[in-house]
Amino acid sequence: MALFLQRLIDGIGNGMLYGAVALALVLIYRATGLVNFAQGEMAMFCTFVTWKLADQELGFGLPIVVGIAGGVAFGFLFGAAVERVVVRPFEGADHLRQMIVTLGLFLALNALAAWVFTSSTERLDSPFPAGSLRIGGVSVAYQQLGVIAVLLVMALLLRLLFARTRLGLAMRGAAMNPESSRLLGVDVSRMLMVGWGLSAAIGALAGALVAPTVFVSPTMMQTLLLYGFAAAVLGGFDSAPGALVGGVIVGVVQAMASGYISAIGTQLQLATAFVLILVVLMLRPQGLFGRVSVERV
Amino acid sequence: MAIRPTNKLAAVLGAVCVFATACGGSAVSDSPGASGGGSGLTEGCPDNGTTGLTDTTIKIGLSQPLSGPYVSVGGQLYGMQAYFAYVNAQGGVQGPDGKKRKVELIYKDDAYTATKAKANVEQLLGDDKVFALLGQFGTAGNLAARPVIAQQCVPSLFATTGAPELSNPKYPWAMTGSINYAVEGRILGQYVRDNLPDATVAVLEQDDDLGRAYRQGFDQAIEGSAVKVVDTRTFEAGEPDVKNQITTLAATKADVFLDIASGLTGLQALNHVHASEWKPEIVQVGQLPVTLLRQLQSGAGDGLVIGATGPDYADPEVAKADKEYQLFLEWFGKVPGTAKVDPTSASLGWFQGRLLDWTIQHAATMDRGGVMTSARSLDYTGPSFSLPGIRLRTTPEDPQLIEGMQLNRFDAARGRLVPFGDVIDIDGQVEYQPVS
Amino acid sequence: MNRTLSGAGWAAAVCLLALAPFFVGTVEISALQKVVYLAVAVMSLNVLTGFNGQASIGHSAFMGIAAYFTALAVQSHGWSYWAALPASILVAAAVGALVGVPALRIRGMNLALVTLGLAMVFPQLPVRFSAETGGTQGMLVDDGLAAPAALGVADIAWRYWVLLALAVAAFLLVRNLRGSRIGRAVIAIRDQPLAAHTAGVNVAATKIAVFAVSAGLAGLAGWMFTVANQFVSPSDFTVLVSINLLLGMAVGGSGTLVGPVIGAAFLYYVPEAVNGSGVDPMLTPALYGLILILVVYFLPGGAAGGLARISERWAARRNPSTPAGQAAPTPARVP
Repeated sequence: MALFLQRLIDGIGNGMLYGAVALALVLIYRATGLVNFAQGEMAMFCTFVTWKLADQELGFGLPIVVGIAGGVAFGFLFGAAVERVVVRPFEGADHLRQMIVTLGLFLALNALAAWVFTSSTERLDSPFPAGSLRIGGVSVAYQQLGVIAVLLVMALLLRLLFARTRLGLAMRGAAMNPESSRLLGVDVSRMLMVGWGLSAAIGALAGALVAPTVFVSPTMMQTLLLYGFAAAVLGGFDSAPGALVGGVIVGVVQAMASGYISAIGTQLQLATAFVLILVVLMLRPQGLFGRVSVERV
Repeated sequence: MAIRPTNKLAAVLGAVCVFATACGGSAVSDSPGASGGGSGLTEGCPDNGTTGLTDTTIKIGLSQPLSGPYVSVGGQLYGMQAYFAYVNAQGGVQGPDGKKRKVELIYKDDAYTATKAKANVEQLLGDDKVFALLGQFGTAGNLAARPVIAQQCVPSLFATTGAPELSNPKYPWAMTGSINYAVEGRILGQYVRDNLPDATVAVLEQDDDLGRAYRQGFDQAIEGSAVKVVDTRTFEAGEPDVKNQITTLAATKADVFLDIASGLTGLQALNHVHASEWKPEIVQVGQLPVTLLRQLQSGAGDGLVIGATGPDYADPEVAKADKEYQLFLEWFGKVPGTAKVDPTSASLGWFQGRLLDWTIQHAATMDRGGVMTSARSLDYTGPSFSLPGIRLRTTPEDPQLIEGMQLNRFDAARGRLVPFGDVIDIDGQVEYQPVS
Repeated sequence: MNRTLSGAGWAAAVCLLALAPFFVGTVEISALQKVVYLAVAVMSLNVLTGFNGQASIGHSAFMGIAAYFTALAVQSHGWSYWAALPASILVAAAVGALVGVPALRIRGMNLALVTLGLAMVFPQLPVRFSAETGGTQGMLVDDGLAAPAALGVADIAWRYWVLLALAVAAFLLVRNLRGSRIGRAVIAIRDQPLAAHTAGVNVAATKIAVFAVSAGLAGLAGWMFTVANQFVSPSDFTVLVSINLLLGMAVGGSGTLVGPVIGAAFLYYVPEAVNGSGVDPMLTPALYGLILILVVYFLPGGAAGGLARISERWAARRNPSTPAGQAAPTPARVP
């Protein structure tokens, strides 16, 4: 029983990491209507900024919370700048060209991070206390609890932003129906810029939350990316809480499969995530929590 | 109307082509292994093996990642540059013919892609006309280039890979410089067998040829003893986390945790074991340099057992006390672009330069055959970054340079490796065998 | 008149390439082999993305499947390369058709996602089955494709000619397909899916067929890969390879025939140039990314589109009575 609970907790913990990445993907999708292939690399770059601010030996040695705040602030400016300089010229272009542009960003940011910062693996301390809470035979790291709390708050705030605020509505409108939004007096370009800034900021936060587990390196987000996609697809690409739930489902299924089904075990985990994406997109393209989109002629 | 120019063009080109064939020296008439002058090692070789040599220079080639996700492992290049700057300042490398030759190092980036590495080797041999390759980096790249090296009879010396397949004596022109994974696995197995004779072992194993090579060596060493592997969990390189595996292994409460994981995954495993209530003796394969071990959470990995072939130069006191390392640092500092390069990883390149220097000095003849024969019957006693007690010896039957290790315990508080026990050297006891 | 002229240009270029082994050494020929298979690979992506408007980041996987199939068939099962050629193309095409089925329901970014997943998963398969494939260290194929003894030419030259001939055949096939009824249907689906449907085009069947043809061409490139390198490893078929193919397509010009050739030359020779230029090679990918973005911005038709525009201007200058745009076909834009 204790082992089962431990596996459940492991699964939720891992799932939250996927959920963190998925959250950033969902945000940029809602705010810009785009799947950004460079999302992970932007988050990685911002996490390096956090690391640079906080690291004792190679950085400025600021407290980790200050470092994260700096990384998130940098993320917002960086995202907005990327939108203004790189993405804006392609506003209204077809998806293929936008996709190629985000792939270009992916390549560029990955190489630049290694060149500007370092190509080796670095540690980023957790803002939460070390050690774990032990109940019975089960241990939950404070780091895990902290990550869960922060992500839940984030997901709720995002939900409120998009459902209840004028800014959120304007952003959604700008992303989904730019023509009508323009007619209604929404500054579509400005909204997209804010959307990129926000999602890069969330990416920076997600990076800081996963870094104590996956460490900081130019490749840190790449292994998480497909799982993040799986979580986002499962939750429905336009639902923030759905992204977290999707992540947790992926994580728990993995933990249980690796623990109890010895035939699957830990082999081909990535392939499992891939099949999951495929099945969800085939059977329920809107995911568990997403809305059905209607194609208008 | 447009057909005529094409015809005319074809006729002209055809004429040129007849002319060109007459000239020869082109890819169309390239025939491998034609001259076949030598015997033994040099039998069937295409030339007399002095390509890349002049009376005053020797060209050495290297392909390794300088871009892409594995760029961090590329420090050896700068160490090599440092050594060649040092030796060139003294006039160059002394050959058996009494001449001193300055080393010209030609390096190319392969981004850790095997076929790019092969293409680079083809260029290094065909266009740049290097005499030999030194420290070729990565298992797949070395394997891809092996037929090219064999066909043109070019020494590929002290390649940076521990894959047992690259020490296959059937391919005498390729040899490795790093300790073979299976040999290291065997040394770790011996340690467990001799010191914890009734131990139960739980294994985390990378699910690929690297993981299996370590495991094969370990299993051979504990065969017939009371040491028992109770559970093995595998993971794929590139998995984001290994927490699930560690939870399952921790539930076995085994006495020993064998961590066959490299880099990031190795660190994660050690952090997770530390966070669990499982307190096993940890045996770690040497894919985690001490600079990475220092990135562990505080207290994690304390007291783990890890093998090393050299002293812990990341420890400033050890570095300061070592004359050879100080010499290396002096010249390393003069190499441009090394500000961000970790000297401990670059030191490998310096040592490879030393080994090359020695090999050429001790060759019987100053040609590729002579140098390769020398490399395959080496007994190196010059300045080195390996520990005393580890023999740097090769024979044609056993071309593996390093087959010994010093075991260390990791002192997490100080971030240092503390050696314990004697060097375990099994030179000559391990024959080549494929990993299964 | 322009069509025949460009035909003559193609013929001259192929002749020159065919004669290359008489003039240059083995190193250059093996480089040209790579350009040839890269051109076929970029072309395969072009068929799907450029002509049909379906994005794929999965073409490295189609290539890898055929390359590994060929390597295993030749090395472990005693097949000849020639027997493996149709088989490997078929295997890749079959996998492509399978991926094409979800593509009916999944479009745009989501399809890109699915193919991204395929590209990420593929390199793990050889590692998983390392007893057969050698795992991460890769797999050598001992026997090369040998030249017929009667010809008396070196194997490498023969291999190069085989690759070149197959590439020319593939390009001709694509050219003829593009001009055919099916080809027009394929392009119509890209530009006006609903209109195409209304006009009686079987959108579903056409889309799956395009996926299969595209994957089959990528499979041909994979077969060529194994012939040229006699070696396969997971590191040769990563997601980055797919991204590079997209880069080659964008640089060369999607939706055109000459684009993939320019793109392939770019993919092979630019890293070489960077290597020799003294720029920190660490920045090569950054340079790639920058070029990719700049090209999509300034040259939406790629280099091929740019060339067409230049020749358009020339024609207009020489013959001012002809309105520009009629003298040369307008470059196909990225959809």
